[in-house]
Amino acid sequence: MRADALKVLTSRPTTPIPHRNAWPWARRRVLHFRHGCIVSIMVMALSALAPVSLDANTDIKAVADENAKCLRCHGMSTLSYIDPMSGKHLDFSVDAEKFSLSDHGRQTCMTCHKGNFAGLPHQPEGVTDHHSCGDCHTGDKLIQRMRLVGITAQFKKSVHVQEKVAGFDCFSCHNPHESRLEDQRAPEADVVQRDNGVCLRCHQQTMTEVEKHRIIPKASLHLGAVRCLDCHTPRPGSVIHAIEPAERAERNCVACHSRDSILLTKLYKYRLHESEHRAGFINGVVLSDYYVIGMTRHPLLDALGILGVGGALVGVLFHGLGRFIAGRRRQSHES
Amino acid sequence: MNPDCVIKKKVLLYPLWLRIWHWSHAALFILLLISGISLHFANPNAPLIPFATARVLHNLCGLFLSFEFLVFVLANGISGNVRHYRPVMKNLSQRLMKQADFYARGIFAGLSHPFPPTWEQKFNPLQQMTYLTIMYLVVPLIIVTGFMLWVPEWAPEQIFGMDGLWPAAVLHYLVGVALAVFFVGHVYLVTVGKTMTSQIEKMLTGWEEISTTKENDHERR
Repeated sequence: MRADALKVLTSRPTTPIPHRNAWPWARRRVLHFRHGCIVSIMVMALSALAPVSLDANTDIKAVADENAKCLRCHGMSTLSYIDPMSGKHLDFSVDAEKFSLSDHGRQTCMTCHKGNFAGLPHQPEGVTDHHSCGDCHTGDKLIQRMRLVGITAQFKKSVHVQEKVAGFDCFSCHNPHESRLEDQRAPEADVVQRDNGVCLRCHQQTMTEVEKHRIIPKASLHLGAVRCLDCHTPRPGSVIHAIEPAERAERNCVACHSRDSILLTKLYKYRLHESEHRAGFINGVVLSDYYVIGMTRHPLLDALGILGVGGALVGVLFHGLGRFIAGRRRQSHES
Repeated sequence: MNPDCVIKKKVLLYPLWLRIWHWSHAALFILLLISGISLHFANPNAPLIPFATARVLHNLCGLFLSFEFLVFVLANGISGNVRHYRPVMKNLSQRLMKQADFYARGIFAGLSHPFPPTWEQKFNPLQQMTYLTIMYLVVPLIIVTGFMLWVPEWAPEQIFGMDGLWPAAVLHYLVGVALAVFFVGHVYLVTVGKTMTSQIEKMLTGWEEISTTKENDHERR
């Protein structure tokens, strides 16, 4: 009995233990599980990267339907009037297509606009929203991710705040219904036109911009090639919200027209690392849009120039020295 | 040329208009060179000439040089000085080699110049080909590209998907380098005359001693 029991305990099972390679289905399952985990993590990470995170249950169609109620009127480009009290042109229209493509396009209108909008036309006293970017864009991580660090401090130094321009806030320049982070990577010509358009909305007075900028040679070309911000903000370029008064604007040509141009930290900041060297040119990122004298340079051509002129100087120096020595020898022979 | 009939005499080979043009052209060239270096190698910490000054200077000198170039072409043709720029193609390569050999070896041995100036041809073959290329190809090229940089609207909008101004800018720079190299060689060759200063003297006074024959010696002062 004991021997039988011992035999049972020590005996190998009648069915041999299969080799791990013999269980492909099990391996596949493990791999599927791993892939599933990776995909889940990526989805979570991507959703966290969204400018403003959405609830998992947010239904885009429901948002669109909700917003359609507002856009039925506010989607009309003509929804504006001249305020008889202030004389200002008040525009209440929203470009529905641009809004849907904007970073805020997945938010309902009511997410930002609070108040009683039941009556038509809406009564001013019913509208209670005085929201700002900071209402949603809070939290260190979000602020860092959206490169909003230090913007408030810069903004407070801005001439618009220092001069206490009435009603000047983020929305004076940034249109939350149209803004898209990816627009920063648009072609520079578009960026210049768009950004300068923002400034010109208020700064178009009796004197034209070209007349104001007579100090700059070929003012109209310069104004079409760089942003107002590139000269009207302090160095370095990461402080473009600290807009300075006109008298402190950049007046040194070499600030842009040199190898270490400030444009590389301002206008070309987002594209600099895409193609720093194009066709071998230093700052070649600029090459597709503009050739900037002093800034766009080719190290090979620079070396060629220095070697060419330097070689010629050394050549004539040695030739002259040879003539001098040969002349002295001839003189000594003759004497 | 029979050596027995050869006579040496001084003639006015460089008329007044040519000397004025030459020296003003030289002055403009030096100013353009310095201002051009200041613009291309602009450095806020070590400016040769401040950028804004260099820009005005470069533009003004470029404009004057362009005007002078037109004057040169017209006067050169009208005065007949253009004959010195007409290349004689016969045995050109041999004559070029002979002149190059003189600069490479003969000059050290104290040999006389293989192609002394004459009324018909004051340049040696190397000089002639160089001046012809410089005055009728390189200078027009730098003027045209310079105008394109000065008035960018004249440059094509795009070339090979890049801004149309960059070929003009690169060409302008390369031609400028070639002219700077020429300038170094030109200034040095001033010293290879009979004396160290004889070449400068002739460009100041206009008079040059030439070899001619009695038959050809008519009314050439």
